[in-house]
Amino acid sequence: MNTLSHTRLLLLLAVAGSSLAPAQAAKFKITNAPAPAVMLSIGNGPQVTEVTFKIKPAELGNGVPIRARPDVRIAVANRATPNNSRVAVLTVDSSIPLRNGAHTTPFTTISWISRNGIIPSGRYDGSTSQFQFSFGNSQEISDRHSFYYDNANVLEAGAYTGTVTYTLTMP
Amino acid sequence: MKNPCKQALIAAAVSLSVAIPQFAFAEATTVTGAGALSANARVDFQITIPGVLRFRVGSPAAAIDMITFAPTSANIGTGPISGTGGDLTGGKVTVDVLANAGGDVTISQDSNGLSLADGAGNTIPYTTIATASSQATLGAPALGTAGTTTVFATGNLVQESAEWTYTYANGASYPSGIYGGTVANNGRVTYTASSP
Repeated sequence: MNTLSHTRLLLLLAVAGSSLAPAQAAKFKITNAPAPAVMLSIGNGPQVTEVTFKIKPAELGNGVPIRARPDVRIAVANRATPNNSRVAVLTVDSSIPLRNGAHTTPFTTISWISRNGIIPSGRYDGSTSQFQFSFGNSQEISDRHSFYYDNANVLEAGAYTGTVTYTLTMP
Repeated sequence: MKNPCKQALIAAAVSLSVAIPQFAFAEATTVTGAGALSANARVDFQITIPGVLRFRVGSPAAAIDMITFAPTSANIGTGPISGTGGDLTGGKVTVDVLANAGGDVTISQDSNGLSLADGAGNTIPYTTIATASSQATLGAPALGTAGTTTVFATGNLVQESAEWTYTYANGASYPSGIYGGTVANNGRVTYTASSP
């Protein structure tokens, strides 16, 4: 290398060093395969929601259904990969009757109306595993149910209480 | 200086971690893991049944029925005759009793010792009017006496219906006239149902 060439090379390096930032690169990797999951949320408060039917004496047993308060929001979600590879099923256990001391009344006297029709309207059948609806992963679905008591019979006075348990399963 | 690429990756990681929503204002259950998954949530129900005592004799609501006995001149004092009137006609009325507060129901009436009067000093005792019930479980208290009847509860519940039919004994002759028919002439009997 002659002196001129050597000088040009140094000059070139000097120019390059003065006008360009050091080389940088970014690597991107999104691992979107979290563990499968199901989520079930029912109600409106921080604890278990209590749905209450209040009947006026003049209305007792007249066959006109009584609407409960409050309406209940039901939200479900499931997650798995790949999408639409699994199905989640929502069922409900209403097998234990409402109780007022020694007196009982079955949950079959309670029905509900779905606001959006996603989780359909229906009536408790008193079984341990009543099908509600199913959906593929990965979705988040919610609906709101208004509950009605048949009010077709006269029961012993008092407060009848009971609990239904919803179960969301993803085999 | 913060690396914008690193910040973007952190943001993406955060957004993925909340892909399954959490509901802070409901009973919510989230289950994760391999294999079959199952999550439960409950709803409590309460039905409040008020205590009631319903009692009906005759026409519904506030209507008061008139039962009329009108023996003809040919059959005065010749034996029992049927009445007319009542919501079921023929001197017959509907009777319903419903109680759910616990215990039996007692039915009484206020004609003990009384007689129907004609306003002219003549009377016919209430004991001459018999009441027959179509249901043994809902008997009628005897008019003109202190008698009562009891409707027994089943499981703290009383729910009975019957037809009561009134008959005038017509075993004696009384002076001509209209007896009862008004409150002033003791023409009204009030029944009372009571439960503990």
